[in-house]
Formats: sequence, structure tokens, C-alpha cells
Amino acid sequence: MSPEERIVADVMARAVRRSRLLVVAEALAWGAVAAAITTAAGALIAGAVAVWRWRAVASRAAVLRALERAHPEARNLFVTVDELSDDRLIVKPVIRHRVFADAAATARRLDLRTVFPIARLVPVAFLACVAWLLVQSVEVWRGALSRVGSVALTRSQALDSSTSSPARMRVSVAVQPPAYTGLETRTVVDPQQVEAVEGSALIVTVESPDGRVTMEHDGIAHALARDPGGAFAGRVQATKTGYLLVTSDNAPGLQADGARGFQPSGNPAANRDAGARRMIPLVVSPDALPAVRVIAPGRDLVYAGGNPRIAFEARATDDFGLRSLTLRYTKVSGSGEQFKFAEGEIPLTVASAGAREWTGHASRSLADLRLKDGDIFVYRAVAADARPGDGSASSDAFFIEISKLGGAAGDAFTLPEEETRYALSQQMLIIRTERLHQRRASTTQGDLAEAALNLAVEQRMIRAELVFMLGGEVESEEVEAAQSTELQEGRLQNRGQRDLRAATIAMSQAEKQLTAANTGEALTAERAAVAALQRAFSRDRYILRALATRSRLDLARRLTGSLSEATGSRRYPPLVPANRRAALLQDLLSGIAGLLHVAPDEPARRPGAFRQRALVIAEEAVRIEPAAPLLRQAAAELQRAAGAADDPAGRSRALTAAATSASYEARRAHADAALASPAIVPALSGAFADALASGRRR
Amino acid sequence: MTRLLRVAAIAIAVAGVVDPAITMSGATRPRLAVVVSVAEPPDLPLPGGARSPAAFAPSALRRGRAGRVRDRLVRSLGAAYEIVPQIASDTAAAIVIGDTYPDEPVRDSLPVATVTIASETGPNVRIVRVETPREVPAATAIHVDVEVEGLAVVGRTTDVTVRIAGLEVGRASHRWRAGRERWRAGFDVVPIGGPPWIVRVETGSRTVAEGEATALDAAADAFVDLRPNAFRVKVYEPRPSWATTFVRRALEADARFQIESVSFSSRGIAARTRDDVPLNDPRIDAFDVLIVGGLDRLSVADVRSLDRYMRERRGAVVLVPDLGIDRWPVRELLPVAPLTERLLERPVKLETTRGVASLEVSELLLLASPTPGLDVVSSVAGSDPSPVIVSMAHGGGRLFLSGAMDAWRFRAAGGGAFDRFWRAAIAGLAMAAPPPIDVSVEPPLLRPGERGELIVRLLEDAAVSASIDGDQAIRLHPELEAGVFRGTFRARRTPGRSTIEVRAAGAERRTASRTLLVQPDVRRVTPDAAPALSMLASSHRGIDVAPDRIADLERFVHGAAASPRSTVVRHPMRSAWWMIPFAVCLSAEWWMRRRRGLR
Repeated sequence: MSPEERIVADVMARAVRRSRLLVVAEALAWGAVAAAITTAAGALIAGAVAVWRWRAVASRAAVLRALERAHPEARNLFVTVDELSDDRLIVKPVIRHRVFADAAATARRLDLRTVFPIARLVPVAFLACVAWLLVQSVEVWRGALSRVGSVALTRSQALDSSTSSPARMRVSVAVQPPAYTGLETRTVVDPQQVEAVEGSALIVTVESPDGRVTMEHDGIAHALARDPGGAFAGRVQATKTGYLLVTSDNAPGLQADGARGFQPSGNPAANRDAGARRMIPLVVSPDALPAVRVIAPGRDLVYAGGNPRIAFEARATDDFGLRSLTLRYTKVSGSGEQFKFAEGEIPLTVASAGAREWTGHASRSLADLRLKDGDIFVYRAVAADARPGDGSASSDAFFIEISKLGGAAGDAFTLPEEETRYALSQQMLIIRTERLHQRRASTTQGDLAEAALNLAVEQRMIRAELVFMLGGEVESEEVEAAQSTELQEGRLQNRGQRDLRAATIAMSQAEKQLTAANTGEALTAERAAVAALQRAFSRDRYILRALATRSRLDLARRLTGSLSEATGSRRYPPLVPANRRAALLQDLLSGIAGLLHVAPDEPARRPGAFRQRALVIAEEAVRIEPAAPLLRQAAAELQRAAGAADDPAGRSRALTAAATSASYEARRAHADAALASPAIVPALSGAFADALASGRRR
Repeated sequence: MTRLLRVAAIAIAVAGVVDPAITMSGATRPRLAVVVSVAEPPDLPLPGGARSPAAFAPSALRRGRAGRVRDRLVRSLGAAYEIVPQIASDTAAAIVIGDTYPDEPVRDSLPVATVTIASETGPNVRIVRVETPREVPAATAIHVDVEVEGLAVVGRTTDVTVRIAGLEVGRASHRWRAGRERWRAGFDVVPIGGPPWIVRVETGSRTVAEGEATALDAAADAFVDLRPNAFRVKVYEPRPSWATTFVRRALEADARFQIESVSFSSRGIAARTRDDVPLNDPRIDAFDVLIVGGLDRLSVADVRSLDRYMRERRGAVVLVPDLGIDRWPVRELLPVAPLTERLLERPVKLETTRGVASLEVSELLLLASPTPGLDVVSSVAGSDPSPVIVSMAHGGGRLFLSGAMDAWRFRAAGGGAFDRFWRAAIAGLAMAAPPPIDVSVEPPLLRPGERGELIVRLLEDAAVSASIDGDQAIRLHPELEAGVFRGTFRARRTPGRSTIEVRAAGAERRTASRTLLVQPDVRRVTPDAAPALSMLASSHRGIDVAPDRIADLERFVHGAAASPRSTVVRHPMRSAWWMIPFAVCLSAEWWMRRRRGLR
């Protein structure tokens, strides 16, 4: 490479480098402008600008074009040099030397600062500065409502400083969750609300120039003591959702003293202002009890005898951590009125997938459990979490019954009273129907019909047994459906009842299909009946030994008692308090309406009075029911309004939002509107109805 | 010739003495009344006392348009009909042109066609009706029914807002799709502050900015006071009934209701509350609503007592059956077709059009078909919307029948819909039951110094007197309707509230009072000038047309008022003109005899 070529190559390389640096700087500047809104937007804009400008300005061809534009007298000299450099243009050596010599001479005169000026970055950088200045100073020029975009309260979201005069009071709350939760302490400053796990300790630190600071927690107020740093501090236990009301008043004044915080000032002028108030809703999340269930067997078992081995498996989960998982049982022995109950515990071998999820296993034979005929073994899994005290929960209970009567029943149910005659079960019926179905091809039509008819009779017996056990009699499906409700009279809609009804209906269908020798469809219906029975008996369990076949009702005794001493009785309706909450919410709305309709210039003229009213109403909102999210939201908006006394638009927005939240809550607290009767003169309507009725009779 | 003349004269004389009657039959030209009836535009009161009918076309203009229509009808129908300008007893049909009912009475059998001349000019959105309860109990939402009419505002959207104490408590929007359209909206709003409450309904300022003819009808106020007394309800069960029991429990859990109950578990053995009274005791009139279950055990005497309670007390009776009732005496109370029982495999949610909570039910007692005068509260959803829960007038009171027989089983569903439904329904019935002294003021909101009308309704005969603010007596005049008195008074001259007190001295002395708000900026619903003229046509088997559909009207008239054939009995000899031929005959006969020299 000749010296001229090297000179030209160096200049070209510097030009490209400078151009690319400028592109990167420009992209970053535009990104900074956008980042004033969000960081993601900044990154996106920076990337987009970089790609665009790189192709337009910083490519080698673009740099060459820029050089030629800056020096038109070069007459494409740099372009020619570029083509010669990468051998796109082949010329004689003499000519190549001449071209490079001319290019080198021109390159020496090149001023890259002129060709690629830095000045174009200046407006973008200026714009970025302005954008960031606006963002940083927004609290100053727009007040407390600069970020009213979302009305939802977020965890640890700080109030805008203007809502309650930060110069007068700064509230820090350190939330120390209970040790067993394993959560870390976190501190929030001037929060809109504090969220804590039940049992957390809240350490409240207040920096205030006032001489006395009190804190009210759920209606109990106490003065905060000054700590060595000059701030006021107090500690409360978060046991339920409520509020913290921090107020300061003018006892001996304080003044800010750098790192030491607020110190007594001794200046009477500092004491003339009214004290500051800060209402902070406190949302306490209770530690949920463990969720525990029995995975295996997970259903009731009936054994006729033998010594089968039963594998138990239980699973428990908890939101913070588990402490124990066991299987507890109650063994019921005896009959009639001579029952014995023995309770015990089966330890489980625990395999944990972490502190929050445990699985326990155990295996026992009937002999291990010492169960004999007639015994019932009721078991459930019990898990406890790590909280101090009793944080245990138990699973649904299942039973294991040893009964020769129910031995044939297997998984399904029927407990016939005469062993020889009714030793049938829905499950056994299915087996017998399956066998008949398999023999269908090799059986004559007459034999098939007769066998199926026998099964139909058995199906009807099972159904009758079930319905009888439910307290009804078998007449028709409608009657079954109607009478099955009696079992649940006075209770709420019961899924188990629905399943039982579905089981009896499926049994009826199976009976019909068997009568018609449709064994295939009968099997489907029989299995549906089993499935419905299992659902009913495993889910709601209200039938669990409520009416065992061993203790039959003596129907002959019904309506045979003496009524001679029967008398009427006096009933006392319950005393119901008036709906005070609705009245309070009406009053709250009235207060908000009053704030909305103050004279437009009043808040600006008397910001203290307006702010005080708004804060008082905010307190009222939280005091009505601290646990109501809508009321907490209304309180937060009212506090925003309090801080926006000199911003009519922001104030109105905050008050409207507060009114909306409070209205929704109030509507829920009020009874539904009365059902209006048609607005026709009653006497005329009655005469019209009478005329119609008499006409119809004629 | 002489003899002929003599015979003719004698024949006339004899015929005159005999006076023969002749019966004639044939087609006659029917009479058609073409009546122009144009109303004066209503006054639209302004807050400042000014009045402006800006939204209404001048009556002279409408009268001119009606006259042109009449002329055209006279030209086209005059040949076939005898056109008369008013309705008379012998008119065969009538055509009314204009915007209001004619002054003269219209008999029921007369076919009437109408040509409606629109009185309003558009575009305009006006509030036609605002309905609120006069009183609501504490802690109860106020139901506000609003009806708005849009004229020539197709494509525009109107926002209706409801405000109490200046705070917006309800809002709904509607986009107009027809040149003349009415839209109804219902709001359940929360009262704000202390009673009484003024509910202001506005159609929003946006429509006014869109060139409406007037904004005077864009706002209206309604007055709602607090009901001071609890609803008194008695639950009567001749036998225990789950259906009634859970209704009672729903009401007992609400402080707005004061419940007395009796439930017979056997003959003469009952569980009853302290202040319960028998159905046939006059003290039963102290209750606003009676809820009755176990209807199969209701005796004829019980049914008679319930009937008396509704007719004389004008109270409400709620029947809550839990099985079919067609065979029992209670059926006498129901002027409806046979009730059908329906049992469903799965519960269904009933449809309601009145904004109350929907019940779930699987055992239903259905009304086969809607009966005139029946107010359907809930019905079965789907293609066969048979009524299930209905209410009907019975004498001066109301009868409420719930065919949702096992709704109590699903009372936990729908966020306590069962309880909410029954509380709303019983509250509504109780509010409709008149108190011993019912005091109302018309209009309910008055401007300072404005004249108001006091209407007092008594349930029993008594001497009645009234005063305002304790010192100013109001003279009451009895009305034609028994127990109703009216009087006028002038509202106070400064804004504020007054109290009207009414005292009745009957079997026992009773008093009632009513709060009256006097405000300078009261906005009222623009009254309709009259019922729509089209109602006259539809109630008289006629048609209503616009002025550009006269041809339809002519076809209708030709069909409705054909020339009738009539039979007429005439006595020709009663005409005095017979004297002339009689005299001519005699004179000619005398003259001819004299010519012949005879005497």
C-alpha cells in the first residue's frame, strides 16, 4: 500500500467512525427523550433511531456521499478511490497512483468536524433535557394529581408529596412480617396504604416539625415518642384491616436540622399553622390455613373381611410454610346405642417439595388398624402451618367400614336388610350385566330377555333400597324427585342431593333398558348411576350414617303421640339493627358533594380549610369500613383532592373519582329499590279486574 | 168533468181523514263528521317565571294545516257523504284532524279516523315522565323511571343523568333511531344527605348545543321523602310452609320490616308473635301487607277476610303456594285461568322486566295465559314466557301470587336473590297500601309563593282539617270520591321547607304530616298537551294517518261508513199542500156548474 493510499484509507476510516459515533449519540439522545415517559419506550426509540440513522448516515456509501457533498470540487474522487480500493474498478497502476495522490491531497484538507458536525445533536440533547426537566419538576407545577392515571392502589405506592404537606410531615412505615413467614422487612414512605400479613409489626416513623405527633390505630390513639434522631416513632401490631391516622399538632415547634431530622425550633411563628394529618389505610392479609386433602384412597371403602393393605396418601399446601402433616382417625365400634370411639393418629412419611407443599404416605393393613366386623374407621389428614398457636386444617373425612352385609357392594352402595335376598349392589349389577352382554351372541333371544328381565328386577330393588334410605318411596320418577327434597328440607341447594337424584334416575333408565333387553345401553345407565352415587357420597357426605340400615325408623309409631298437653308457643322475631352503614355512606357522599360544590376560588383562597375538610371526609371514608377497597380508594382520592386545593381540574377529578367509589359502595349497602306497582288508580284497576272476572263467570 | 172534479175533491178529503201511512226503503247518504281540533301549546315554565313555547309550532299554523286537510277531505268525500263539522248522534263516522281530542263526546260505537298534525318542531329531546316513589324507607335505593322523547334527532346520542344533592348518581345513554321516538330508562340511585331528597333528571347539555328547539324540557325534578314508619307485615300460615317461612325470615332480617306471624302446626296450636291478630279482626287493617302460605288449609272464612282486607283496607295480600291451589277456596280470589304445575329437572332462573332480583325455581305454578290487568313480575324464560309471579288489582288493594313454589330451596343462589326479591316486592306492595291518612301535594315541589293543591285521602269517614306551618289553615273541600278532600294553599315566599299537617277526627284521632320543599329553581316535566290523537283512533276502530296519507283515510272511511239502506214510514196526507188541489177541484167544479147555469 502506497503512502497516499494509507492517507486516504485513514481519513476514510476516521470519517466512518465519526459518523457512526454521531449516530449512536443521536439515537441515545432520542431514547433519552422517550425515556422521560417510560424506559421501555426509550429503549425502543433509541434502537429504532439507531437502525434508521445507521443505514442513512453511517454506512460507508453514505459517508462517501457526505464527503463528496462537502467537497464538490473532488468530483467523485472519493467514490473512485473507494471503488479502486475494493477492486471494483480496475485501472492501470499509473492512473491508480494518480487518483490516490489527488485523493490524498484532498483528504489532507478535509475537516471531518465540518463534514460531520456535532451541532445536529444539540437540539435533540436539548429536547431530552427539557423532557427530563418536565418530568422531574412535575410535582412542582402540576401538584399532587400528576399521576392520577390509575385509580387502583398499588402496594407501597407513595402519595404525591403535596397531598399532605411533606414539609410538615413525612411518614415511614417499616413492615416486619412474622418471622415464620420468612418474608423480609420492607419500608414504605408516605404510602397510600400499607399492606401487611396478619401479625406483622408496623414501625411507624414520623418526621414532623410539630411538637406532638399522635397515631390512631383502629380507634385507639396514642402519642408517639421522639427517637434519638428527632423523629417520632411508634409500633403497632397488624391484626386486622383498619387504618393508621397520624396527626401532628403544635406543641413546641421543631425545625429541620439536616441529617438529624426535625428539632425543636423555639420559633413561635412555626407554630401558627394547624397540625398535619395523614390517614393511611391498613390492609391486613390473613395467613391462610393449609389446604389439605387425602389423595389415596380418597373415597370410602367397605370391606367384608380379610386383611387388605391400604395405602394412605395426603397432600397439603400452605401460603407460607407447613409444620406438620398427619393422618388422624376415629374408630367406631359397637352397635345400637353402645358405641365406642377411639381416636388416634397415623404418622405419615413426609416428602416435601419445599416448605409450602408436603406429601405424606403411610400404609396399614386392617389388622394393623385392629378393625373387626361392624367397625367404622373414619380418617382425615391434618396439616398445620408454622404460625404460633393453632394453624391446623383438616381434609374431608372418609371412612372404612368392615361389614359382611356390604361386602358385595365394593365401591358402590346398597345395604340390603336381608343378606340372601338383597345381597346386590349397583356394582355387582354392572358385573352381571357385563357378563350377560358378553354372552349376548351365544344366548337365545328368549333366554336373553329373561335374564335381562331378572336384572331389571334387581335394579329396581337396588333403586328402591336407595330411595328408601333417602326417606322416600318408589312410585315414579317425579315422586322420587319430589320426595328426595325432603331429605334436605331447610338446607341450601345441595350438590349431593342432585347427584342422588341423578343416580335414581339413571337406575330407572337402566331398569327400562334391561326390561327391553338392551344390555349395552343398560350398562351405560348403570355406570352413570354408580358415578353419581360416588359423587354424592364422597362430596357432601350428609348421608354418612345418618340413617344406617341397622337403626331403621319404626314407621308404626308415627302420629301416635298424645296431643293433650300440646300448646301453642310464642315466637320472638330477631332484633335487627338498622342499617347504620348505609346512613354513614349517605353522609359521606353528602360530604363529597359539598366539596364538589364549593366556590371555585374557595380552595385557592383558603387552602387550609378546604384541605382540612377533605381530609376529615377521607378519614370518615376509611372509618366506615377500613376493609372495603372502594372506601379506601375514595379516601385516597380525597387525600389527593386535599393536596390539590390550587388545581381546580385535578381537584375535581379526584373528587369525582372519590364520589364514584363511594357511590358504588353505598349502592351495595342499600337495599334494592322497592318493586313499584303499576301507576294506575287502584280503585279503577280493581273495578276493571272485577268487571273482567264477572264477565268470565257469565 | 164536473163529476170528476167532485170525486177528486171528495177523495182528497176522505184520504185526509183516513191519513194512510206509506213505508218506503232505499239508500241514504251517511253523515260524516270532519272535525278540526287543535290544542294551544303548553306553557313551559322557566325558573325566572318566563314562559316560552319555543318547541311547539304556533296553533294558527297548525290550524291552517288542519283546515287544508279538511278542505281536501270535503272535496273528495262530499259527494258520497253528508259532511258535518261536529260529531252528532247520527253521524256514521268521524274524522278528527289536529293534535287533540275534540270537545264533544265521542260514542264508543262510532268509527273514528284521525289525521295527526304534529305540534312539536324539532330537533328536540324532552323529558316526558319522571317517576319516583313518594317515600322510601331508610337505607333503600330510590328507583327512578325516566321517559324521554326525541324528535328529529336521529343518529344523535342523549345522556340522561340523575343527580341528588348535585352529585351524579345515575347515567344512561341512548342513540336515537327514529324521527319520533320514546325511550325509557330505569335507575336505582342512592339518596344522598338527609331527607327529603330532590332527584334531578337531565338530558345533558350536549343535545342543547346541537341546535335543539328548546332546552327548557331538558331537566325535571322529583321529590322523594323518607318513610318514617316500618312496613307492617303479617305472615299467616294455616299450616307450616317452607315457602312462607323463608319469605318471613328474609323480611325479619331487615330492619325496615315489622313482622307479626302465626303458624298453625295443629288444630288450635300455633306459634305466634306477640302482636299477631286474627284475619277477621278489624285490627288487621293496621298491617300494610298480608303474606299467606299453606293455602290448601285456608278456609272460606279466611278467604272472605282476605277479600275484605283488600277491598276495604286497600292492602296487599301475597299468596305463596307450595302446591297446586285450583281445588281450594283460595282459588276464588284469583280471576285467572287455571294454574298449571310444572316440575323441572334443573332449576331455571326466572326472567324479570322490573329490575328486581331473579329467582331460581324448579317447581312452578304457571298461569296459562296472560290475563288483562295482570302485572307480570316474573315469567319463565324462553319461547313460552308463561307468567309465574304476578300481581293484580283486587278492589282498591293488590293481590300478589308467587308461582315460584320451591324458590326457597335456591335462596343462596344469585347473591341472596331470594331475599332481595322478596324484600323489594313486599316493600313495593307496602308502599302502595294507603295509610289511614294519605297526604299529597300537587305539584310536589313548589316555587316561592306558588299555589299548590293539597289532596287528602282517608280510609274511614272522619272530619278532617289541615294547616301549613302550624298557623295557616287550609280549607278542604270534599270530592265526589268518598274520603277524598282537596284544598289549595300558597307556598311560603322564601325558599325553605314547610310542614303540612292534617288531622282527622273519626273513630280515633289521627294526624299526618308532609314536608313541603319550596325552591326557586324547580324544574318540572313538560306536560303533554293531551293524549295522542292516535289513541282516539285506536280506541274507535279507526286509523291514524299523517296529512300525506289522506288516500288511506278515504279508503278507510268508505269501508267504515257505507251508505246505509233505510226504511221510512211517511204520511203523505199530512202535507198542507193538499189544500191547494182540494180547493182547485172544488173551485173548478163550482165554476163549471155556474157556466152551465147550474147553481
